[in-house]
Amino acid sequence: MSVQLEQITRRNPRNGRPIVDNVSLAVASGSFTALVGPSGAGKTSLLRIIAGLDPHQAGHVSIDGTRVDTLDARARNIGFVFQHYALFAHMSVAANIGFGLSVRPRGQRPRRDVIARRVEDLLDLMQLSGLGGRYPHELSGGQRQRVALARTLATGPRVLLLDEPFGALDPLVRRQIRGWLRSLHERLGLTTILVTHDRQEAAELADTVVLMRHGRIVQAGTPQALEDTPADPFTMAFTGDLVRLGGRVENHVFTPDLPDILPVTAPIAAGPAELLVRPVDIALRPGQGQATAVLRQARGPLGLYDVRLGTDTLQVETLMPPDRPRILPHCALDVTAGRLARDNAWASVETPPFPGPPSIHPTGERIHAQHS
Amino acid sequence: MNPSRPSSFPGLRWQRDPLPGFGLGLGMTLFWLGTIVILPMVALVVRPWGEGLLSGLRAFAHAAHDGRMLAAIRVSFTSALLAAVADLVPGLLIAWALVRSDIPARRLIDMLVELPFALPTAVVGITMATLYGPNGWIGGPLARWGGHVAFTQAGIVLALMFIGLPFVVRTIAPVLRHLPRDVEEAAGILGASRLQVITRVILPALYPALVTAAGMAFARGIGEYGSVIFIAGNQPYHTEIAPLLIVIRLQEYDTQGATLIGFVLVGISLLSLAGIGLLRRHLSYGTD
Ligand SMILES: Nc1ncnc2c1ncn2[C@@H]1O[C@H](COP(=O)(O)OP(=O)(O)OP(=O)(O)O)[C@@H](O)[C@H]1O
Ligand SMILES: [Mg+2]
Repeated sequence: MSVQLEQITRRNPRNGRPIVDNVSLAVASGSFTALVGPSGAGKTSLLRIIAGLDPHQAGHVSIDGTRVDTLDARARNIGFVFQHYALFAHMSVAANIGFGLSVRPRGQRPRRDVIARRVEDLLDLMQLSGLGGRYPHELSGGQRQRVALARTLATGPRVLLLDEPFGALDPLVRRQIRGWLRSLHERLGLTTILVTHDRQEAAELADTVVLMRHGRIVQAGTPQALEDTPADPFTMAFTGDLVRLGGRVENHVFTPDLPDILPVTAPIAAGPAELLVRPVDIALRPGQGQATAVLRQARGPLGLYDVRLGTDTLQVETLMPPDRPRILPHCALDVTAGRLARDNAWASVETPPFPGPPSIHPTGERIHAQHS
Repeated sequence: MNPSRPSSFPGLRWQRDPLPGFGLGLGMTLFWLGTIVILPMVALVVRPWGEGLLSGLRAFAHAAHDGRMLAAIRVSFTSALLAAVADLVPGLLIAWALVRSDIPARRLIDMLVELPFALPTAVVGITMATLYGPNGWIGGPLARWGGHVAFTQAGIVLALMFIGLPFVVRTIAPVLRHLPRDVEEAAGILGASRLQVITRVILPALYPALVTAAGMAFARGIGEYGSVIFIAGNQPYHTEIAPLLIVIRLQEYDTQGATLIGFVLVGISLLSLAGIGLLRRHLSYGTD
């Protein structure tokens, strides 16, 4: 089932400020979408609007092309998994899972033994066999989360909304459940929207990552698209580790404030600017400067180096030279792979196309450095 | 945690309690509980035997055939029980209104709930007797329909309901306030109607609080005196409550008889409270 959001706005009932601000999004049937963004961005609010838990003041929600704006949450046939599980504490696990079937109107309610069989199947599917008689407080966090998921799936929803479902789990269990959720999504042909704080989780799970901020969608696309063409510095900062270097542009050359970083060509207007680069994209150039790089940790062919630049220390992850030296003296840093920003936006090109490599394309694809 | 390092006192591990002044706190608790609760109880229990074992036994044997006393105790317990159970309905509704609704007079109601605590119970009794008396505002029209509240057990139950209501409201309201909303939302998304959410999710979560509330109203009702005697009529064998009989016995200088009633009241009350505790524990399984 596809989900369509058209210019959804929800205002804070108290002060009228938008919590969700003119959001449009098309979620294809069978896709896995991750909703990411800083705290307070409006992710939960958007999810609740889709589910019908919160009203919106403008725009339309459509499921499979049908507008559901005025439809009650219970009539939308959407599954929702809450951050804190929201299990019924006074019911056994089996009763929790069977709840959605047992509250159906008399005519549509399955027989008791049919419900029991469905519950057993779901317990098996969730790898919870034998726990049906327990109570929620007798389960671990990961088990509770799976019970919540089983309870949601029992009624056979085609759209599954998950609000930070793994927030309270330890990293190991998280990884485990993550992979298993993805296979579940595929096996059941669900359309899934997942809110998460974990960018790695989003990248691993989702076909589409939607980045939100201040109630708006900053960028939506495949994880690769967000990595390759971040819409703005905020996106780039959110999707991975980042080194920010202050500096100035004169005569189309960006010179960082820190010493021992090689200047890079920059086809933008003169003035202060900022260069954003991933630590893995920084290259070490031995013999071209005065900095000393000290190996902190080697991981396969990659080395994590501490580089002292004046009073600052930068951490750089890069391909090591074949002899894996512990100390590289007289280094300079090559940040050609970075992007130039000004006032929290990419700096716009002044005179394209600018001749002569190495150059930085402020927008669009960047030129990749040789080392990675 | 290090097995290679033997403890200096093998087998003896004194763990300091994280509470500061734990010993002092425990001492104070025992002292106050002792002087305020346990000592009077002991006195009450010991008293019937004060004039010798034989005399005490004889008093009990006598009491077992004292129809008036047995009737008074029956009236007290059935009235308190009825009032406590009946209080649950208005108590739950008021608590709901206070916590979940946005009615304009919320704060005023919130304040008024405590009124039965603040009023001298005699004032409550006299007011109720006037209201529900044969010529009262409510009692008059009621009498024309054939209903009699004043000077019947219904009057006793009504007075006890008034006294017990604050216990019910104040016990239920905080529990209701802290029920997680997402649990209700989850039930709704799973297809439960509003009524099903209430009966299958909210009420079961409130059962322990309801039992506690009824238990408190019940316990209060057994001992209630001032508000009841004006509306009850105090007819021996019919509308005479046990606390009143205690006073009557005292006025007759029958101290042994009075303490005997007290003794029986305490015994039955303790049993009831223990039963309520058990029920509560059973119902709250999983919720706390
Ligand atoms: N019922 C409400 N009334 C008023 N303001 C609200 C309400 N719900 C949310 N907000 C506000 O809306 C904004 C977005 O909240 P929301 O819970 O959607 O953020 P979020 O992206 O889910 O954040 P987090 O990652 O911390 O969960 C916040 O500033 C919050 O204070
Ligand atoms: Mg949230």
